[in-house]
Amino acid sequence: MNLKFVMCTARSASFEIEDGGRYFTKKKYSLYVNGEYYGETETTVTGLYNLKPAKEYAVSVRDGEKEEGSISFRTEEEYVTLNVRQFGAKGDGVQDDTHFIQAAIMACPENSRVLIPEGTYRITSLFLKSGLRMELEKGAELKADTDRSHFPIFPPAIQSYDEKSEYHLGTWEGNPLPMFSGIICGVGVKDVVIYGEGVINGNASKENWWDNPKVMRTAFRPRLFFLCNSRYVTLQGVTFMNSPSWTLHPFFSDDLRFIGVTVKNPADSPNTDGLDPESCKNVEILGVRFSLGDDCIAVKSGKIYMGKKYKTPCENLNIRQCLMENGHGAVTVGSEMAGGVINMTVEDCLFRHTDRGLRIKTRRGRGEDAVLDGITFRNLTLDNVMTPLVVNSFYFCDPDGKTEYVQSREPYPVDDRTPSIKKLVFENMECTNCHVAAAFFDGLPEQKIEEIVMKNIMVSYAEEAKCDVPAMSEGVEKSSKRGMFARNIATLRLENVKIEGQTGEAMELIGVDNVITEKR
Amino acid sequence: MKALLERAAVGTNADLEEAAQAVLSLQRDGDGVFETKAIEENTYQAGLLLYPVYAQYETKAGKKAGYPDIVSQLAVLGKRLEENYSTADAARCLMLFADTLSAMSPEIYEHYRRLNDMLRSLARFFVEKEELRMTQFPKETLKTDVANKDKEALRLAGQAFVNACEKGFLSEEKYGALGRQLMEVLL
Repeated sequence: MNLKFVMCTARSASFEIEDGGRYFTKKKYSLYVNGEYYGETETTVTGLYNLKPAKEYAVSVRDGEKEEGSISFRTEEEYVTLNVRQFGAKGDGVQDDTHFIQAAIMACPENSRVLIPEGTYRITSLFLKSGLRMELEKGAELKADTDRSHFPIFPPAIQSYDEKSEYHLGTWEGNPLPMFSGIICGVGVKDVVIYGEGVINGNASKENWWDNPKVMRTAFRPRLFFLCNSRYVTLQGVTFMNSPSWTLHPFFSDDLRFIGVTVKNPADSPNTDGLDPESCKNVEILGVRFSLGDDCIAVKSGKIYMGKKYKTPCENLNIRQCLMENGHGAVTVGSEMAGGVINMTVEDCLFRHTDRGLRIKTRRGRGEDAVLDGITFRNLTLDNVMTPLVVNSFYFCDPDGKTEYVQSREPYPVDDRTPSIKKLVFENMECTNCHVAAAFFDGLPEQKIEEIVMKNIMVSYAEEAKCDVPAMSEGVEKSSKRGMFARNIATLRLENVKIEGQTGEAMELIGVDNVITEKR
Repeated sequence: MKALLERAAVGTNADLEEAAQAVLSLQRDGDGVFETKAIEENTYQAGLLLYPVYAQYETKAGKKAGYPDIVSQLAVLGKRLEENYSTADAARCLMLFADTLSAMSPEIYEHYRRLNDMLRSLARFFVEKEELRMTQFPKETLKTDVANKDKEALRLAGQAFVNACEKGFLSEEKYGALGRQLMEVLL
């Protein structure tokens, strides 16, 4: 069994246990750090906390008495610790601690940490600074205010003086619209790590942010964690919960790592996506647990204005060893993807009780820069996922989503509004207790999906399978135990694809130009 | 039709629906722009009544599907000014763009933004064409600048600038002061 070093700070570390498990290890292990018992772990990506700076560590992973693997590393240097309580934060859940914590952040020198010790700290928006290391100790909770009049507003698309360019501070659902600043906010920051066993709680409920959620009141709802034009930012171990809207939203930011983080929102909370990278490059999502009310991961690149103007796809995403449960889609692309999504790999993950596994949402009107290519799903376990694979080119989003232009299944001319989907690869996926359909691929007639590869895919159904629509577009019937539906695909490659227990045909193929069946 | 449009601008949803159906049944010219002589002799004057109502209808009841049509038509009207300019038409067009934008939702951002960009572009063009100085200058200087010009039109343009700045469609720094001074000088 291998142990792989992932990252460390002055006070924490993460490593990966490669025992063949997906999010959870195959068995429970004991951890020993420098010979001393540390605790137990059942997750492939495991974090260590309360370490000391500039120290050598040897970690041993044991099954009973037997050492299964070991790893060594040295923690980073640390100059000083700035304890927010010394800056006046009370952590009593009553005082607004925003200014005091912000003061500590702004005063924090290089190679140091801001420490948030155990306690409940009321905050509005906290702004990060380049070079920051911020630790939330176990028992520490940053708990957000819910009075919208207390939050700064990020105005949309601020025009330059010469009116030739503009400055963006984020988007709402892919369009530059006014938003409240994120509860934790990084604008133009570099080299930031937020880590620890603590909690960042958006404190949202139906009595505040989730009341009438679609209506903009002064501005749109804040994110729980928002990054804009930032680089080299890592989140490790922290729990994010009860977000007012999208939970983690990096926007035009690169070189990001999300390691061992937990995202929890109630299953009926509106638009509380877990992690929505928007026009970001080089994103690693490792060992993250999602349980929430919308898509767990939703990869985005703006609606048509932002996509056309900036042509910035989301690119080079690696998603591994994650657990997605109770959301709409485990990994969703879109619907705001007008800048495209290129090179995304999802591996060694566990999806359970989500509506969909992979969910691609696009539609006419997203634009010619809305190109999806190089998307690979590999080595995945899906259990109780309603429909494992969905590609929907007629997603009925936005106020014009149900118009003839968006919903017609007749070909329209290909023009600068037409999106495209190139290559999708699905390998080694075991899908048990499915409900609605094995797969639902619905491409545009005028611009078919170029290629879908399916290799070693096993689908079986729940005994009491639920009935629902496999994709959200007009004219899609509810179904239960439906096989694979594939329409408007140029090339479909199949090798060892087994669908068992379906009602009707295992595969319905319409407008599929080439079906290539590889024999094992 | 004119009365219908005037009523729809401030009336009930039923008035708006009735006006919208009348608008959509108008003939169009070769560029797809509504033929509006039955409403007003001047196209831009007619447009001031028509397009904001059309946009309002689309925002409230039409699923905003008509936004591309509205903005395309206004783009043609804006383009025609370059070829056949008058201060009066340009001022009407500024107000028309601003009023129509006010009736649109930014949630279909690409069309909203295109019209906003058209308004900015027209504002720049108008100031250049009319040789209006855009810095804060004494009223007497402005009185000289407008002495031999279409004062009613310039007053309307000033109002359009002020309205647009209040809504954030134009830069307050560049057009707000100018707009207020035009209105003050020309009242």
